[in-house]
Amino acid sequence: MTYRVKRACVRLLLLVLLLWPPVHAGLVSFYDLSAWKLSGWGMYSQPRPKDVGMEVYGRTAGGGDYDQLTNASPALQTEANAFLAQHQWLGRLTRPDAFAAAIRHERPDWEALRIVTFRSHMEPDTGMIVLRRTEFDYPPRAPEEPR
Amino acid sequence: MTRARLVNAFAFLDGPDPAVERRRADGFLTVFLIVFGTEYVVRAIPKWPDLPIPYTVSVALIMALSVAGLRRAWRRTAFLGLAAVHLHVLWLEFPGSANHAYLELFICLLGAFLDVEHPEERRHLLRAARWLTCLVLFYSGLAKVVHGYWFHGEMLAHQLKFSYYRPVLGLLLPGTEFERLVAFTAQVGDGPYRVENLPFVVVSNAVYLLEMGLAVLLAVRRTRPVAVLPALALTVAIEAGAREFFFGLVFGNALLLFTRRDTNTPARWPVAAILALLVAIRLGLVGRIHFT
Repeated sequence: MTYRVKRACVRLLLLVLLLWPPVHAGLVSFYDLSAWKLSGWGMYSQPRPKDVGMEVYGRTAGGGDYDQLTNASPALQTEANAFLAQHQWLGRLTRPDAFAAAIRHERPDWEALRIVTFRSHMEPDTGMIVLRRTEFDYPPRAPEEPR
Repeated sequence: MTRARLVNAFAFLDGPDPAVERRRADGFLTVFLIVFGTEYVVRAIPKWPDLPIPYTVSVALIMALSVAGLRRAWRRTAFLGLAAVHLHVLWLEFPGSANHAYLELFICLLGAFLDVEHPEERRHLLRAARWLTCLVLFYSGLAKVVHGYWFHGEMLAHQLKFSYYRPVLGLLLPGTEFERLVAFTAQVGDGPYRVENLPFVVVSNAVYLLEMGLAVLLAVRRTRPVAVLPALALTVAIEAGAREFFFGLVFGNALLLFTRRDTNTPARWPVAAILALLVAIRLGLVGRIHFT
C-alpha cells in the first residue's frame, strides 16, 4: 500500500469518526439506541438501558382478543434472550423476526403476533425512572388499526 | 481550496517538535501494547476456566501479539494481527462492546498500516491519534449535553447506586439528600434523581464543560500546554470514579501525545507498575477492588 493511499485512508477514517457521533446521537433519540455503545462516545451520558421484561400475545385466525403466551419452551426462551441482548443496545433498530418465527413454529394457530418489551428509562425532564414499552406486531399493524 | 483547508485541519494537531516525534510514537505504541495485552488477560481471569474457546484463543493470541509487537521489526505485523483478533471479539460481542474497544481497534489499525520508521507515516499516525483523542473528549462532553442527564446532576445521582461512587459524591451532598438518593435502586418509580444541591450540580455541569473545553484547548497549539495537565487530571478523576482503569490508561497514554516533550516513553514503567497491581488485584493477591 502506497503512502498516498494510507494517507487517504487515515483522513477518511478521521472524517467518518468526526461525522459518526452526531448520527449516533440522532439514532439514540429516534430509535432508542443506547448512547453507551457503537462508538458514539456517549458513555455515561444517560443511565444504562435495562430490559425488565417481555410479553408475547397471539390472536387466532378467527379474530377476537389477543391471548398471552405463558410457559414458553426453552427454545423460545433462548430466542427471546438472544433478541433482548440485541434490543437492549440497538433499541428499535432491531426487530424480533427470528423470535417471531420461532413462536409461529410453536403456535401455528396464531395468525397475528404482538411482542411487547419493557425497559426502565429515566425521563430527562423529571428525573423519574419509568417503564418504556415497545411493541412489535406480526404482520405489521396498519397505522389506523386499533390495538 | 476546500481540500487545502481539510489538509490544514488534519495538520493542526502536529506536535511542536518533530525531533521527539519518533521516540514519542514508539513510546505511545509500546504503552498501548502493554495495556491492551494486559487488559485481555485481566478480563479473562474471573471467567477462567469457563471462558469459551473462542475467547480463550483470542486472549492467547492477543497476549502473544502484544509481546511480539514490543519488538520493532514485528510491530506492524503484530498490530495487524491484534486488529484482526480484536475485530473478531467485537463481532462476537456486538453490539455490547464498550466504546473504548472501538478506540483500541482504531489505534491497532493505525499501528498496522502506518510505519513509525517512515517520517511522513509517523506524522500521520501521531496526528490521527491526537485527533481521535480530541474527538473522544469533545463528543463525550457533547453527548452529555444532548441527552440531558447532567444539567441537574441526574446521571451522577443515578450512579450512587454503585457503592464505589458514594465516598466522593457523598462529600458534595447534605446527609438527607445523600440518603434519599442512595435509597434508590434504579427501579421503575424511583426518583426524582434531580438534585438541588449547588456543589453537586456545579460538579455535574463542570464535567461536560471541561470535556468539551479541554478538547478545544488541546486542539489549539497555543493553548495545548495549559490543557494537557487538566485533561489528564479530569481523565484520572473520571476513570478512577467509574473504576474504568483500562480506558483511563489507554486514553491517558493518548493525552500524553499533547505534551511538549516525549512523556509516553517514560510512562512505560509507571503504567507497567499499575498493570501489575491490577493483575494482582484480579488474582486476589492484593485487596479487593471492583474495576473494568
